[in-house]
Amino acid sequence: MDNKNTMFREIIAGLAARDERIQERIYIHYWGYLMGISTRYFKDRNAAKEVVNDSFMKAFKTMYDFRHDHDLIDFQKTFKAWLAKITVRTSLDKIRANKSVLTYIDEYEEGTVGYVEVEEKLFAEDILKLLHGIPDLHRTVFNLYEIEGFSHDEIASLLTIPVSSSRTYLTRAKQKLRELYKKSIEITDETF
Amino acid sequence: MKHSKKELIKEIADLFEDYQETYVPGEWESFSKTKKKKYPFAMKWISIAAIFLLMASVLPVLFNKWSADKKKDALAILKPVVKNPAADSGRNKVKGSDTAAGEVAEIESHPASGLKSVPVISAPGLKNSPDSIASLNTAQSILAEQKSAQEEYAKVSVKPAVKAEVLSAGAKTINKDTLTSGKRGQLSTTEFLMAESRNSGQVLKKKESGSRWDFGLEVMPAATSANVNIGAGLTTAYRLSDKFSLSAGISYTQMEAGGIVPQQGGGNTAGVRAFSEKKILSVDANLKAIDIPIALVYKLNKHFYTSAGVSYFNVVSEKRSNTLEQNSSVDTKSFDPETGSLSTFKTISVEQVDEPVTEKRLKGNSYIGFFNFSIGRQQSLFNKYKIRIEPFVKIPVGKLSSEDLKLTNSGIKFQLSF
Repeated sequence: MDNKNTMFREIIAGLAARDERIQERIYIHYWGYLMGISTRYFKDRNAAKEVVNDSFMKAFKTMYDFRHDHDLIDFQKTFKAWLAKITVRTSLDKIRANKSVLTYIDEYEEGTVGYVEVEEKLFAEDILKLLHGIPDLHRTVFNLYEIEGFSHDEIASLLTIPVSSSRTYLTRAKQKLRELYKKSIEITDETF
Repeated sequence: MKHSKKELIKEIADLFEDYQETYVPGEWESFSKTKKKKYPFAMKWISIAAIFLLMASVLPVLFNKWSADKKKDALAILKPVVKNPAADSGRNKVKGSDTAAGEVAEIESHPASGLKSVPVISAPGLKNSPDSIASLNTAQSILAEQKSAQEEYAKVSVKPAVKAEVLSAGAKTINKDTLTSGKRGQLSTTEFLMAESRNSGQVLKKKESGSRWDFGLEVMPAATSANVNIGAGLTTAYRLSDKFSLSAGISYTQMEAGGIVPQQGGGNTAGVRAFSEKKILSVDANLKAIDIPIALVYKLNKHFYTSAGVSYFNVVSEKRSNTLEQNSSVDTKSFDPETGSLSTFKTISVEQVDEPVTEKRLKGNSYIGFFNFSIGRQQSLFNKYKIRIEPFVKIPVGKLSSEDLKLTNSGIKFQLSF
């Protein structure tokens, strides 16, 4: 706890002094968090790493002007949220730059799985596999809506798709995730 | 630990809200290397662009000063081309054949934050919230456990998804702040969402503002009144605002231009002209020059823009030739078919002659330039490059405008920028 506070104090002091050496501490501390975000958007781990590095690159350019009220707790939250925002936007930039990712959508049959209760504790690693099992555009819409909290209007604007498509893709993404989850549970049950 | 049952989607959203991976040693080192590689490249381009801008902004000032000093000299240099020494005629070559004797032809004489500093949302209502402080304290208290938890999780998570039951044994050690500090997670999410919804409209715009610099290659076929010419060069532009940008460049141009035929002494209509008189028909010049333009570009909309500026024009090589009409008196002898006697007639022979001019008026005169106007259309290509098609007009100014060459030209620039 004290170590953590000391680290944040050092970060604040480093930003105020525009000391470039603070970059390493920030990178090491937040790398895992930003990778957690980018791996939700990219199945390819190298692409996710690239997004994280680009995000740090952007953050390091402007972080010395990061405004905060020198409150340690407040700084931790806002700085983290700021880095997350950069990463989400960098991910979307990369997705937009590589449009082909969004142009191909697997068509699958409309299922009837409307509600799935989670029986056991979920693990991020397993859920990431499920997420990567759905089409890229569906996954992107799912991430933006369910996890990042964007509205359908905002998603439509970000991905240059109609609002109705955003709604459809979200429904399909959820549907597919439920199906995949049920399948994985069934397989597990059969195994044991 | 008893797991409370939740709907899958809600569970996923909660799981990823504060999810983080374990840091992989060596990532910072490889990032540092990449960063070092990227910066020198950018610096090199920025230096080149800065040199262009400096040249383009300083030279017009020098040009004005110099042109004021040289104005008198320039006037002294100007003299009618028709008075070229007759000695040069020895090198003349006959271009056209004789025209009708005595026929006198009259010739008429003729110009473009990283991300911006993102507003940070403070949450005054939440800042002093006892809940949030309590949850943070809770969160901090488990930070010490996190490291070991992360390690354990990393080991466990390597196993495939189908072994979820086995993994559930390690449920206590899941690395997820949300579970232990739900309030705190919610607060950060709320902030994040608010900030995103505020700025969402600017996202596309901000992407464009990634770099203010723009570099490109261009070719520009252009036509003067005499011929079609070609030029090629490099351009750079710096975006001043969303609508305006400043562009500069350097290009190598080959230009063939026709000349203005100087006024010649009267007497053409007097009926009888002096024999052996030379009359200039046209002046042609072949220039090779370096053109350094600077222009202000105004973006009309997403695709169209217009630009206006001046360019510094340094003539590297100049070749001139005059086409002259030469009248000379010729004694023609002929036999009278009826009488068979030899008779001699005086006739006037008119010849067109090309005569190279050794005088190089423009070469080295670096205080000449053009006004440039253009309207263009740009089209993105593979999201990385832009193609621009830009019809333009160049009108000579300063020394060039008073020259005897018709240097006004227009054409189309084809530009590939990146």
